[in-house]
Amino acid sequence: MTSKPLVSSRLRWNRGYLRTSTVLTVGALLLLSLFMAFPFVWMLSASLKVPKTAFSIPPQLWPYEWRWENYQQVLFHPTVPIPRFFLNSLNIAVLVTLGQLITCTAAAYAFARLRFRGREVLFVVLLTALMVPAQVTIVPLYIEMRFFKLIDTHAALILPALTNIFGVFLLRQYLLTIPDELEDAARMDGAGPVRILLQIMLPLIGPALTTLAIVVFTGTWNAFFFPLIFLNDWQKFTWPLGVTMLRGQYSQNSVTVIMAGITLGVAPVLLAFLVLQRRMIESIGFTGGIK
Amino acid sequence: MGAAGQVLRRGGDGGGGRSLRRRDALTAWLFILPTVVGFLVFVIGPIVGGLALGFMRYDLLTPPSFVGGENFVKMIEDQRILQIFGNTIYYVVGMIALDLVWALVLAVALNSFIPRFFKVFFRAVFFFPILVSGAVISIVWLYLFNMDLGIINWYLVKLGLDRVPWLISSDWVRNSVIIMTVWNGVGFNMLLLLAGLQNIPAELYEAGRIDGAGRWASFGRITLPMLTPVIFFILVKGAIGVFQLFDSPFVLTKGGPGDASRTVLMYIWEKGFQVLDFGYAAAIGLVLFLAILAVTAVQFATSDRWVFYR
Repeated sequence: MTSKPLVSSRLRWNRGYLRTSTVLTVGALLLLSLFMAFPFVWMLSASLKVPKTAFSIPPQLWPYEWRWENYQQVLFHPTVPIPRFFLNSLNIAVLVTLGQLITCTAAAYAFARLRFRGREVLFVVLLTALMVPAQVTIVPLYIEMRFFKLIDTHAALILPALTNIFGVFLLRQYLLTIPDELEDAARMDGAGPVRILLQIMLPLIGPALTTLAIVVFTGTWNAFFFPLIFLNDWQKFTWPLGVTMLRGQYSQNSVTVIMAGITLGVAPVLLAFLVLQRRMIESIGFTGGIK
Repeated sequence: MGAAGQVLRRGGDGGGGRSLRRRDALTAWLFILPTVVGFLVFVIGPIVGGLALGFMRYDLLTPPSFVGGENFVKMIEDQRILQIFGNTIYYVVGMIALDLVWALVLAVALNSFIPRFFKVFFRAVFFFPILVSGAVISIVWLYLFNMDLGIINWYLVKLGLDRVPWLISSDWVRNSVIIMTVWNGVGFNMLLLLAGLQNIPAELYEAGRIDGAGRWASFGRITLPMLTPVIFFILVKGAIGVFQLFDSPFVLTKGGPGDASRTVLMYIWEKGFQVLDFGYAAAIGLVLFLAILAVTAVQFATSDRWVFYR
């Protein structure tokens, strides 16, 4: 099964012969990847089935009868506004990502390049925020939001996420690797810090900005806990929260419609991943401290 | 560069250095202002508030009142708390162990001598689940784990094994949560370990081979020691993360049966946002924070015994 691609000359295959251990490894990896991908396969298959056959025995992954109406049902559901959930999630994720790119870039530039009193101390103090798990402060944060009258608004999710110490740290480290000479030259030509940041630094830190954007966007898009705490009104729900609640709205045998709802949210992520695969893997890995 | 040097010299005697520096400082403060405000309002504020709230009684409706250590006494007397902290520790140990082994197997396999096409393909497949919301994909697993109709049990029966009561038995349910959560996140540590593997210099293996080390010996004596910094990072980050587990058990089990799969954060949520006992919820949050701090401190204190730094 695997022998054909293995001997292709386009691959880096300089041994010239097939090793059993390679075949075994690839075989084992195939089994593992089947396991890793299986929940998605099952989800897609169930989303296209007639409700009654979702749990047919023996299990049938290839639907007997394709039922696209499941998607129609979930998109135009009378009480559960799935498209609304998407828009809400998109709205929040875009605003948070843009906000963080701006605030983190500005702060990172100041910490990396501008001189002011107390710079080092302040930076270390800010870094301690990374050690306080957000979930531990959830109760006082809720009371604070209630005080600001922001419960059940998207602002409760967006405002605390507009700044991010981790993002500042990430971009600062990146800025420090850029040689001073570039900036000195511009400075002597009379460029102020704002112009230097926008015209010289911004193009140079592109990769770091992409990394931050990918991590922040996926994190916000997938967030569940904070929306659960802060939102009450259906119309304001984000996609993960809404689709989880969708389950409560249906009886057990409507699993097919629920799977259609989930597939609709997973599909854009998969598409983005297929296009940006390399960047996304590098980004998530990078933020984990690879370098 | 010569031109820049000239400009530099010309600018040096202008005498505007001081005002320039002041302008710089002003700009710097403007640049960091949003971050500092966000830090004060959304990090420092809640920390101080949480510290105070832990010693108060507050239900949103009546003004908060100071009650001293009452919330902490209540915690000791709480019949449920032992089980819930026990579950959380079980998750921390079980998830990190499974995650580490699973990620290591994937990373070693991906790093072995297989064609590049397969490498890219498998890496993508193993990585993808990370990008999907754990809460949402838990719904899918809910059906896979179903005792009577679930596809996992169907295959187990097919293999001649017994059905497993994945989510309905108090003994099994935590393991099911662990399997699902690790499946969701294993790709991340796989990437870290893979990078760690690729950073091991090939000469070490050459030298090992000359000294007569076999495959297992070189894995145990070269690969693992060289990976210890990455493994240490995974343990520290993993413990902090799993102590705050919420999404997957919340959707898979709602904490049940009984409290069998409930985590501390789920309990904080219940006490705070369901029962409106905010003081008690904040107090549990403080204890959770201390637990995380203690575990992290122990990890760092013992690290020089086994982490191998080059």
